[in-house]
Amino acid sequence: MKRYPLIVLSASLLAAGAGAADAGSPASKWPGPQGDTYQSIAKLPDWSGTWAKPDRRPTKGAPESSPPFRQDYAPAALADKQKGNAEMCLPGGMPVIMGVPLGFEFLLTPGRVTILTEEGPSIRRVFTDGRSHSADPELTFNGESIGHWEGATLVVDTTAIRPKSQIFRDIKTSGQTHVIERIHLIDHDHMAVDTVVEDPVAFTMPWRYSWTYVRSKVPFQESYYCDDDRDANGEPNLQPPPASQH
Amino acid sequence: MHLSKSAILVGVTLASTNIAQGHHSYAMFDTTKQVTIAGTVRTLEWSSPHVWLWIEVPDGKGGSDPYGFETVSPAQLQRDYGWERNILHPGDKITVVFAPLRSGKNGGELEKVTMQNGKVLATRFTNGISQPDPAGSEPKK
Repeated sequence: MKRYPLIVLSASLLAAGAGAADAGSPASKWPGPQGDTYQSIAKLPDWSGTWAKPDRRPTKGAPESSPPFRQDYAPAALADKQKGNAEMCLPGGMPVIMGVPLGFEFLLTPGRVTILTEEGPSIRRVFTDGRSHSADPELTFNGESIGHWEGATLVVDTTAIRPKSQIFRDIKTSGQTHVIERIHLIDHDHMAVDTVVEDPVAFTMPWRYSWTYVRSKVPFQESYYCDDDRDANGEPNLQPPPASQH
Repeated sequence: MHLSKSAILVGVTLASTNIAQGHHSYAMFDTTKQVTIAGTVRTLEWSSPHVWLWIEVPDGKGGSDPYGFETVSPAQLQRDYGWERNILHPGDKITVVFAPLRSGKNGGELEKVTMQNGKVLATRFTNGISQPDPAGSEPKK
């Protein structure tokens, strides 16, 4: 964390110098490799393989357990007795999708980082090609993500998150949610997703937390499909599969 | 409406269901109860989103009844609890601890398996191992 101010400072100085020489490319905005070409991607950190958020309880009292809801926001959302998206076979959306205890893959191609999630076919496309946010973006579950590299850290700015996305548990985003993630390796086998969630309608202040992912030896698994296998009474299907299925 | 912050947090906690809990309610399982039962493995249904363990339990009349137990995903069982797809085989004698169906039907939510060699296969519902994630992004019991 201590080095962030230095990086930002140097980034600003370099960006000022690079802008005139290379207008229009990602380098005109940000110094250092931006992954705009395969040669540039080779200079970025190795995020290959599958990353997983461990299935365990975070430290009690951790920031992620207590979002700073406005007093008139959470009760209103709860009074609707909203079902969780998963119960309706919908994706959780941003920001909760990054906290699901399943696997993630980060695919680097020129101008873009694609984040795949085992939670389902819920793909995040992070554009690192120097573009700005759209003037009139379509609202989607995962929002519109614009990224850039600050050294070995991918900074992702996400807006245009559909109000049906979940901000915390089953509580929905307000339609004004803005998420900033700083994704970086802690060491070879651990990745941090330092997150700030801003939502002036839902929160009294920005909500900060960090997920830690582990580089997994278990490869990316089949999607966590929606399987609404309960009957009208909520009973599961108790008919065993054919014995040979195993 | 004037609610204290703590009241809001309690409400949030109670109202949570969430993503990645399997897309359906778990209300049919009585998680205040724990039942232990012995049987033989019929099949380990290794499938996403949820793995099901099926066993045959002697009915006391020379036959047996099938029981089904639901647990978490193959991804979580492998990464977090050390299971493998072929860790159980048809005919293996095992003991299962589970939260029973409120309906009394033959099955429930799998808490843990003890294999004949004494090895214990845990799940996120194993007592003392796993707790619901207060962040709400993980499955809850």
